[in-house]
Parts: sequence; C-alpha cells; structure tokens
Amino acid sequence: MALELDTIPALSAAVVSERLGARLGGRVAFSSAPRERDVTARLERADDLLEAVRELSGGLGMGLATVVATDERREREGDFKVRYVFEPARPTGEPLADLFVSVVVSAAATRPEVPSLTPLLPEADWHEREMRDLFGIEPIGHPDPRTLVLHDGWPAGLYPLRKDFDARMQPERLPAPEFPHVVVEGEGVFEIPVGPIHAGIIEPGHFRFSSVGETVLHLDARLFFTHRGLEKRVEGLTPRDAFFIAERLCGACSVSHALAFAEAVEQIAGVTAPPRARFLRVVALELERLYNHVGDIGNICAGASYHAGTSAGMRLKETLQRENEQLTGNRFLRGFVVPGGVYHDGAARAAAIDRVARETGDRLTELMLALERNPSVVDRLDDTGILTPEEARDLGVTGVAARASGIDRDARRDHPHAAFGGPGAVVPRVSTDAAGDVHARVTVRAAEAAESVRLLRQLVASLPPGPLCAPLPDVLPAWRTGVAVVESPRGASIHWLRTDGAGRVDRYHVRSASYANWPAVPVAALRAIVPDFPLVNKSFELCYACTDR
Amino acid sequence: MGRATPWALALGQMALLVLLGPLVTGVIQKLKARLQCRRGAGILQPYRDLTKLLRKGTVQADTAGSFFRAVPVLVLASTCAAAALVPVLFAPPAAGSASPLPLGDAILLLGWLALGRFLTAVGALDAGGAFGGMGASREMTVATLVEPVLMLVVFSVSVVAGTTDLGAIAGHLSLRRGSFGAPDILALFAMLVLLLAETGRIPVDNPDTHLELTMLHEGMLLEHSGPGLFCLVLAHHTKQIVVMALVQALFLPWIPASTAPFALALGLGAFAARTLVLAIFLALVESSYAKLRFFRLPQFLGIGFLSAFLAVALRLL
Repeated sequence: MALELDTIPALSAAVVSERLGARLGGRVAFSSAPRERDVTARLERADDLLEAVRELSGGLGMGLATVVATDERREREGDFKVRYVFEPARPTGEPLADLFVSVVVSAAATRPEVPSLTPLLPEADWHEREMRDLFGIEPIGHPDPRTLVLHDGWPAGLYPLRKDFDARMQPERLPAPEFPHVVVEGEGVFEIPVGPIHAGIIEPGHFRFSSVGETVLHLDARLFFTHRGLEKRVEGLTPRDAFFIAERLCGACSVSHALAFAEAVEQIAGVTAPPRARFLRVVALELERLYNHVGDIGNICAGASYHAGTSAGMRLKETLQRENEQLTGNRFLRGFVVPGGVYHDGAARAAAIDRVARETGDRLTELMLALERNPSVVDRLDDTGILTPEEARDLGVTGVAARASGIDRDARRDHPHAAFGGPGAVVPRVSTDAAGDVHARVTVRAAEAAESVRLLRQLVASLPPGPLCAPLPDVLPAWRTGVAVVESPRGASIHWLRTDGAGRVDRYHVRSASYANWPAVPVAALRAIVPDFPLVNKSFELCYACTDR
Repeated sequence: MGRATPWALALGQMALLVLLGPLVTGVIQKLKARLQCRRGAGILQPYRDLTKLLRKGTVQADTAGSFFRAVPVLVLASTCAAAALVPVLFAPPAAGSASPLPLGDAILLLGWLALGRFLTAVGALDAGGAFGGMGASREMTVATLVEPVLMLVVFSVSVVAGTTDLGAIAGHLSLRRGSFGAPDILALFAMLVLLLAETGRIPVDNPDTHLELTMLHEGMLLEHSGPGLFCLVLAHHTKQIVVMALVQALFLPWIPASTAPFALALGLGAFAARTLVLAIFLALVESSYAKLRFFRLPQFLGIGFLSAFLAVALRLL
C-alpha cells in the first residue's frame, strides 16, 4: 500500500481516463461531465465496478464523494443507473484537484443489482443501504442486510424514489419486529436504549448501547426519523421553487445548502454569479460557520457540564444570530443566497459585521483560554472519543471531524466555490490536529472560528462593486447535470442535481456533511464510557434533519 | 421560659427544614445564574415547580410494580425523619439533662439518609427503565465512597464531645468557640467534599442536565411523575438542607442555647447566614468546574476519605 501511495500521479481528467481505461481493458466509455473538467466513466459491465473502484481508490487515492441512483426506466435505455462519484481524497497539504469522477453502471429494470463496494470501501455502506431502501437496487455482497432509511413496518417492494411511486400515498404500516440491532451477549452485558425521544429538545435519533458497567461494547445508531422525502418532493418542480426546499433541508446549515443548490443550478444554466455576489456568499458562509462553531463549543461545554463555558458559548451565538437577523431578516441567514447571486447587499451592515466579528473573536479567545486553563475541563476533553486517522479515512469523514483526525481536507480549498476560487480568490487557512479526540475537535473548531473572523473582516472591507444577481433563464436546459460542493460548518455538503426534458428537477441528491460523519460517531463512542457519550456526540455536532432529508 | 417540649421543638425544626429546603435550591440556582451572567429564575422557582408537580397526573411504566408507587412517600418520610435529628435553632450544652433532640443521634441520621438513597435506587430499578438502573448503579457506586467518609467525619467530631448526639455535640462545641484545630480543618475539608457529593452537584453530578446518559440522581427520578416526583424532588431539597445543617452542627456550631423567642430568632438568622455561605460555596464550585469523568470520582472522594481519616487519627493520637 505504501508503495502505491508514493506513486499517485497528479490527478486530472486525462490521467484518470488513461488509468481507468487501461485497468478495464477498454470496456468503458468516457465523457466530460457534469463539468468540463470532470470525468464520467460509463462501464459496459457492472461486474467491472470493483476493478474500477480499486483503481480509483487504491491507485489514484480518490475517495467516494456520493452515490446517486436514478430511475431511468422511462428513458431510452429503460434501466436504473447508479453513479459512484469520486473525488481526490489523499491530503497533500496543497489544494487537491477540483475533479469529480463519476463511475456509471446500469442495473436491469426487472431485477436491479449492482456489486457492493462496502467490503472494499466502508464509506459506501450507508449510500448502498439507502439505495436499496429507496430504489430497490440490491448491492450484492453488502454485509449489512438491515434497512437504513425505511423503518420497521414499511411494506416490502415499495420504493419511494422510483418514478412510479406516488408520494401522496399513505402506505399501511405492517407489523414488524423491533429495530434489528447487533445483540451483545455475556455476563453483565446490558442494553441501554436511548431516544428517539430525549429529555432535552434535540432532534430524534435512537441509540442502542451494549455495555458492561460504564464501558461501551457496541453502539448501534438508528436515524432517519425525520425523513421527509425532500428529494422526492422536489422532483418535477422548477429549480427556482425547489431552491426553497433545499434551503430548508436543515436549520443550522441553511446557507451551505442554499449555496450548493444555487451553484448546481447555475452550473446547469451556464451562468456565473457576479463577483460582488460571490464575495457576499462567502460572508454568509463564514457567518454561518462562526455562529455554528461558537455555539458548538458552548454545547461541548454543556456535554462536560462546564456551565461557565456553556453560557459564554450561548451568549456569543446569540449575538451572532441577532446580527444574522439584522442582515437578512432571518436568524439562520435564510433568504440571503438565491440562484444566480444574492438577495441582500451586505454593504449597510458591513461595519456592524466587522464589529460583531471582532468582538466574537476576542471573546472566543478568552473562552478558549478559560477552557485550556481549567484542568477539570481539559481532563474531560483529552483522550475522549478518539477517531483515528485510518478510521476517519475509511469512513470518508469530512469537515471538523476529519481535520481533527489529521486529514487535511477542506472543500473551500479543494473544491473552490463562491469566492474561494476565481479572480481575487479568498484563501482560507486550514487547521488540523492529529489527536482525533474531543479536545482536538474543540481546538480545530476554535481555530476555524478565528479564521472565519479574519475572513469576515477582510471581506467586508473589500467587497467588489457590481450587481447582486445574474439573470437565470426561465427554463433551464433539459437533461443537464450539476454537482456542487460547499464546505458547511460540519464539512463538505455535496448536491447533485439533474434536470428533466422540461428543465424541471428530475433527480436531486444531497450528501450532507452530517450524512458522511454519522457512521464515525459509534466508532468514536467505543473509546469513551457511557456518561461521556453526549460529550463525544456534541464534539461531532451532527445534524439529523439534513442526514434524514 | 415558656417550656416548649423538646419534641415540639424537634418537629418544629424539621418542618422548618422541609419548608426552607426548596428556597436554598432557589438561591443556589439564582447565584449560579448570576455567576454565569444570566438573569435566572426567581429564588421561589423550586416552590412553583413543586406545586406544578402536585397538580399533575401520574404516569407509570408498565413494568413497574406496586412498590414503585410507595417509594416516593417512603423516601420523603425517611428524609424528613433525618431532618428531625439536626440542631438548627437551638442547642443547649449537654448538661446531663434531657437531650434537646430526643429522636435520635448522628448515626441514625446517616442511617435515614442512606435508607432514602437505597429506596430511591430500588424504586429506579423497579421501574425497569435503562436510565433508572444506570442512575441507581452510579448512585450506589458513589454511596459506597461517600457514606463511610461521612461516618468518619462524624466520629472525628464526636470523640471530642463524647457523644454521637448531634444536639449535644453542637452544644458542646458552642462552648469552646474559637478553638479550631488541625483535625477540625481536615474534617471540615472532607465534609465540604461530601457536601458536593451528597447534594448531587458538580463535580460529582450535574443537577441541571437534560442528558440522560450522564445522569446520576436525576436518572433515578426519570420514571417518576406528578405527586410521586413531587415527593422525590422535595426529599432532595430537604436532604440538601439537612446535609448543610449537619455541616453547621459539626463545624460552625454557633447555635443559641436557649429556647426564648429572641434566641430562637437569633438562631434562625445565624442559620440563614451560614446556609447562605454554604450556598455561595456550592454555586462557586458549580460555576468554576466541569463535572469529573465518572471514573475519576473515587480519586476525588478519596481525598475526602484521606482527610477524614487523618482527622480521626489526629484526634485519637
């Protein structure tokens, strides 16, 4: 493996096509899609999938970004298609190539099956189970037969994302066994069921601990209690209407989701947002990151029962959210980003943003000093819930969680969006920490918040002039695909959008950062005792709504 | 001197402690809020919460037995019984006459508190919920570390007074004001560690948390509701003020020796002032530290044990 690592070539569409073509003996057709610089590799035989993935992940050091299945039974080829989207994933310290490689395989309409990647790539686990639940495409050889999105009692053979499923129907709930989970047996082993309804006001998730005393032996998490079928809901809508649903995927990452959807639409329309809009989008993104990060640090203090830190974090977050409301009329910054540009001009609030950012930065420095100097807090954070770099890489973890495990990736640098690319690009400094414990995740968050403060103050002082929005065509081009990645406060959110023959939404798929990171939480929880799980969980601070969709 | 009977006085003190218990919690909560730059709820909030609980109905788990319903009343009763054993307003020097607190001594007080804890844990186990069992197991782990130390602290003081009767101890100590030696300091230190544990506060437990997995005492109450929860919450408020009164009786016993109305009022004022000092101590600790990692608790409580042990050793040597 080490040998292979050293021989990774500089990634480009040409290199990928050449290596992939050679490995598969030519049984593959290449095209440049969705973007000019990307590669779409259409495999002739689904059996070649594992071979192709070995080349991409092993030979070329790429990681799985997302998996998008589509129901194309009413189209020319009359089949299901599965797209495995890969991106450069081996950190070099330099910006990684902004490149997506989509490997497309076909699954028969009558009995859709594809080989499972999970034994090879653990990060494919949830994607494949979701595809099996929602499309009925069976990943052959997947080690976990349990459903992911659909819970007990959903009728068999009813696949919500197939085109012939009527989303208005109310399926009958069938009698079914309770949550199938890994059962640990032995003397003194207890099961602790937690949730989905909790004592505090938090989102629903069910956690099944198997423990001996306070030691966690195994943790099974069940999510998707807030599955609203949003991807189904937007099908057939115009992208303009669908935008409002995309913006409301979840609360805390509203800007990130809105921006990713808007950029996907702009890609399809062939429109670029004007410079002023691109810079204002970064302002919104960094405001979102800042209020999330300071709030999360406060919440981590709550997990450690350090009241002074909790209050300080809440106070900082509240100040920022009030500024959000002044700027956009919404505490979650909704309504700021629109397809084509932005709706609000931040100029009037520039001085206020500068002041709030500076004060937040100062207060956060004080808070971090108080935390680091308090041995009782540091003792709780150190060595709790360690996620090793190997685990983080295998599970495809993203964002703060990845960077705190030493993985130097940040979509702001590796997939430049908004004003992170192009002329006068804003360059964020990426912070990493190798420890992988709760303390590292706090440290990385604090460093990123400080960086957001720096970027915000720099941005509001030098906004380029010009219009706020570029006109979008009333009807988008038919059968076009857009893919956009945005670094949300929780990591990279990947939005994949395709238009149908009328320029409306044919398929929309979101892989939120939380979706990528959830499988890491039960792994990190094994390196903590039961009463420390809330602390570990809060250090990841994942969102349920945009995971469940 | 209008001779009030000792019985009436003991019961009067008990009623006073039960009535004032929630106020102490309210004051601590208010102090904590101010220390964290929050406005906080009024100091009467615990009373409002209690009356709210009384008005509510009871929901019981299917798995709970009939004993479960009896638990809250028994816990409240045993805690109230403990409240009748600490001197609060007056403590005559033990002149060989009738004890001012005729109902029992320090060992019985610890017994009542232990019984309350045991019953709460049994009730939590009886409900059959995972959090109750978890809370009970943790509470019992802490109890094994706390209760022996509490005995040691009491003994370290009672060897001086030559009795385990708290009223007599307080009265005896009141006579020799100002003499506060090394054993007293060590024992007081141990007692303050225990105060944090016995009142379920940071760094041992977090009374304000909504995170079920981290709970100790709160975990045991999760399955209770309505009037049953009222009893348990009131018992917890009472236990807190009883332990505070115990600290005062053992270490700050400036308690008037007479039962004249003026002396009793003075005793009440002194009690309020000393309780406020302890409340400020608790609020300061709660606002300055994070909760300890569960497996660090033996170390923390071990410090209490060590100082209590040294206090006893110094007394006897």
